[in-house]
Formats: sequence, C-alpha cells, structure tokens
Amino acid sequence: METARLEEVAPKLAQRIGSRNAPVLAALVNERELAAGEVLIADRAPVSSLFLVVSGELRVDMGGATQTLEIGSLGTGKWVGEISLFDDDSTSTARVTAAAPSRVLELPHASFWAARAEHPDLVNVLTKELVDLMSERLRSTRALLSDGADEGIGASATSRADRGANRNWIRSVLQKLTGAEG
Amino acid sequence: MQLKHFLKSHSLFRNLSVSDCDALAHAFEIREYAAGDGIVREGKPGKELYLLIEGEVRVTQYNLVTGELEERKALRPGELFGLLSLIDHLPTAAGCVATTPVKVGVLGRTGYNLLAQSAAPIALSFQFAVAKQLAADLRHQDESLRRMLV
Repeated sequence: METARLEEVAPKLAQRIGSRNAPVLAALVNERELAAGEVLIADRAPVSSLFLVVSGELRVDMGGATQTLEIGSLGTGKWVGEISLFDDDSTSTARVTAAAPSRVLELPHASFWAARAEHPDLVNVLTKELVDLMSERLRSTRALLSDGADEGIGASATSRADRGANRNWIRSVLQKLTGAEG
Repeated sequence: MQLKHFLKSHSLFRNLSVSDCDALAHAFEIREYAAGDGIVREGKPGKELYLLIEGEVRVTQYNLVTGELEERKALRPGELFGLLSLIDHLPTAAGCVATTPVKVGVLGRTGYNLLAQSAAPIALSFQFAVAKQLAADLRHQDESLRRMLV
C-alpha cells in the first residue's frame, strides 16, 4: 500500500514507527476488508499473518471440549495474532470474527522475518511494541489468576454456583490474555 | 567448544557480526552446577539470564489455573532462561534445576543493559528471545484455561 494510505488508516502506528520506517511497513502490509460475520482466524488454525484492526470490531471466542465461550471484542488499534508470530506453535489461540464490517492491516509472518536483515530498525520497533503488549498481558493475567486462587475459584470450583463464577472468571482472565474487551 | 563458536551456531545470534559475537561472548561468565542444584527459584527477584551450554535443566512452574506444580520443560544446550525477569524486573516466573552436571553462561543485568545499548543486533536478538518466551507462556495459560471449559 502507499505510505499515505498507511498514515491515513493507522496514524498512531505510523507515528510510533517513524517517518523512515513507515514506507517500509507500507510496502509489507496488505489492507483487508472483512464483512460482518467473516472469520479472520479460525480457532486452533494455523496463522501466517499478524493483523492490526484499523476500523470496525472483531469478536473473540474460544471453544473447549463441549462449550464455546465468547471472550470479548477487539477494536481499532488492537493487534491480532502476535502469539503465533513468535511462538514455535503458530496455531491460533482463539477464533476471531468480524462483528461488523471491518478493516485490518495484514503483515505476513514471512515478510516480518524477511525484513529482519534489511530493515532491522522497523522489526526492532514492532518487536518491542509486541513484547511490551504481551508482557503486560502476562502480568495482568497472572495477577488475576493469583486473585482467583486466593478466592477459591478456578481449579478449585466444585459447586454449581462456583462453576458459574468460574465461567465468568475464565472469561475475565481470557480478556486479559487476549486483550479483548467485554 | 569455545563460547564464541557456540553463540555463532545459536539460531538467535547467528546474524550477529564477528565483533558483536565477540562482545557477547566476553560478557558472559561461565558457571557450573552439580546435578540437583537449584539455579533459579520461582518468585525470587531475577538478576541474571542464563545460556545453557552443557547438560540439562528442568523448568518447573506453579500453575495458577490448576493449582499444581508443573514440570514445564527440559532445557537443552543453547536455550536461554531467566530472561523475562531480567527484562521486566518482576520476580522469576519459574524455577530451574540442574538435572545433570550443567555449564551455563551467565549475564547480569548491568552487562545485559550495556550490550543492548551498544549493539542493536544483540538487543534485537534478545528481544526475539523475550518475545518467544512470552508467546509460549501466554499460549500455555490459554491452554490451561481452555481445558477448564467443560
């Protein structure tokens, strides 16, 4: 895409990466439109791109053995797929669906890693941003898990009421884990 | 094997220049542990990162979702540990014990900061290691929570 278009649809990102890196990133990303209800990432499916939401809203849910849990939503400015970019296991950790007509920037993993040698500054800035994001998610998730353990929810839930609280607790932890908002 | 050659063959540091690799090799202190020695204790302040050179290290972690102490993985030569707490100044999230006689390269926070500031490729290599570790930890928690959806 053109640099001007990147600056138009993702102004904050363009500012964070700087004027030298913006043209580089613009050349690496694609802009994708999603219709309402369109699945961007299927649950437990291989993921080969990193995404940034530039308009609209994405819904995040997760399936267990017999249940599906709606976790929350991701709006403008949210990254999607950062775990799969860095983890050896590149499968998705949740299903991501467009809740409304939406637009995302797509950065293929192959393009990100190929840019490491030629454009280390851009890769460094993006990696640092994603590291800060994942670090904060891990930290806030651990705090919530620790609180849950103290209050006897989580693994120790046995009664029906406890299991109801458990489901809400699982949702709130997963919101922290995914960055989705309820 | 010389530490310099060991680093050069490491996937994280393969792209470093000869001089950056030399600087990194000189910054590491070599330390040995006997089988059964604790190297990192979970929940304690992290001041060093470790590069496993010889032997095997077992990583354990208290799973806050299940309430159980889990054996997370067995580390092999070439793997880093202790990195996350060095970066974010938080208590260590896992314990690490030598299961065989072990030789590690140890890098303290001061040495790490000096290296990261002086050589961008070294900083980027460590950033990738941190990102990989964070992604793996987030996935592990995700899987633990998913198993509770019954």
